[in-house]
Amino acid sequence: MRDHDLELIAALVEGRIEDEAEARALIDASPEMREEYEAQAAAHEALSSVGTAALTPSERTALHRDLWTALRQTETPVAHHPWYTRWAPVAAGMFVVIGLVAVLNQAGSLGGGDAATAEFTVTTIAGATQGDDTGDPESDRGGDGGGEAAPLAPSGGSVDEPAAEDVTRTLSASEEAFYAAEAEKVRAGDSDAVVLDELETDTPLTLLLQCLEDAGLEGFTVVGAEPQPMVAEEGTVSTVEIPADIAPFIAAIPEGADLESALIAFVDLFDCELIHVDE
Amino acid sequence: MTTAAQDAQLLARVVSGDHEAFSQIMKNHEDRVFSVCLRIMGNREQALDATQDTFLTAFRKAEQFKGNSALGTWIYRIAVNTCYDQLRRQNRRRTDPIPEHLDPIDYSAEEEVDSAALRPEIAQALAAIPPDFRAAVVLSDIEGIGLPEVAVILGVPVGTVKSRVFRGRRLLAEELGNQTV
Repeated sequence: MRDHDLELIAALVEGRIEDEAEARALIDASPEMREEYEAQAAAHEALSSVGTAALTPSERTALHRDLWTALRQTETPVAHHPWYTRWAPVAAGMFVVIGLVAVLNQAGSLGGGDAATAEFTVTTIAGATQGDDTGDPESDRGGDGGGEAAPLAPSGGSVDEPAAEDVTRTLSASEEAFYAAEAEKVRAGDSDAVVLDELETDTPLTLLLQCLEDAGLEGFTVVGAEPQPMVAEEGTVSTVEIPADIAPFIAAIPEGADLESALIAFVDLFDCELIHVDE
Repeated sequence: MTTAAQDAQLLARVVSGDHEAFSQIMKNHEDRVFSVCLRIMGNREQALDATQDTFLTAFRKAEQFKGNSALGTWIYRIAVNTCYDQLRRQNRRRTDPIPEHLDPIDYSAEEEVDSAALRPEIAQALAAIPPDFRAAVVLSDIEGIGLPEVAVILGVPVGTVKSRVFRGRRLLAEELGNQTV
């Protein structure tokens, strides 16, 4: 059947043909055309008999409520506190106590028993401070915490991979292109260049993993990370050009996953929010 | 029905943070968006999710609207893409085909249910045809949107829309088993 013939049939079915004679003649002349016309007309009539669906009152109410809740979460200003500021008090506290112990030791005021006591004191104070600080991320985010990604892995269960819809941040086209390209580099094994060189401070792995947990990525690991706390060597210089509008980030994959085929999650290093998921 | 100028004004107010303006946009378009999503998804709950996601996206991308098309057209385009995304995710997570029973109507509900519900056989037939063809016939034959506007919504040439509508109807007719007038 020629395109022109099919166009005639469609126009006849849809009632947008002025002179039906040509179309009718075509249909009458060919059983195949007649069959096609009747199928088109039957389907069109069945669909046209259905009107526009409408929301029920309760559906409308629920839609508005859920939508505005989601929008409020989106609009809640997120205080951008680099993750290391949350740990700074911990580090400061530890340095103070360790320094105090060192001074007292040098002054000879501590015997063996006292040294043990001092060590216990160091551990206790550091632990207490750390406990206080891990509560901070909730208040740092602002709002009622609804802006955070919900934990994606049930406790004690297997890793539940995030999907694109879990990302609440809206990216520009250039940002999306950047992360898509970065995902390719990660899968190609350039993970060291992507991750390690972009970290400008000493970054123990445990803190990076905490950042992933904050982003709802329990059971994930940082791409390119050593299975032990990392210490950036002196003189480490970033070899990767990051666009000015791209914040420092972590690339993460599920633990044990194959890098070439794994889902890659990008997490903002400043506020530990999920930026982008590349599947 | 608002004019294009009124819609553009409302959206400009949304961009400047006016939530009332967005409420008005929702009021103007939510039923049609829901209707499109319902006919494509075939399920009220999924359609509600898609409708919510559609307006969320519209809100977040309000400043990207250039006015090259009517606001409604732009929103419907977001709605169709949102439905496509949901269908793709469903297919990825399931091994079963899309369920045969669709658009369930609870006649025991106290509220009056939408009287424009699809007959089960039509709903079933729609669910059986590919999403691209389904969207085309939904927009054209159910929602009554002209082919040029459908082309803008789907982001394809008018000729492609005509082809999808034609083939979609053909497949639908085969599904309905109705070959004669």
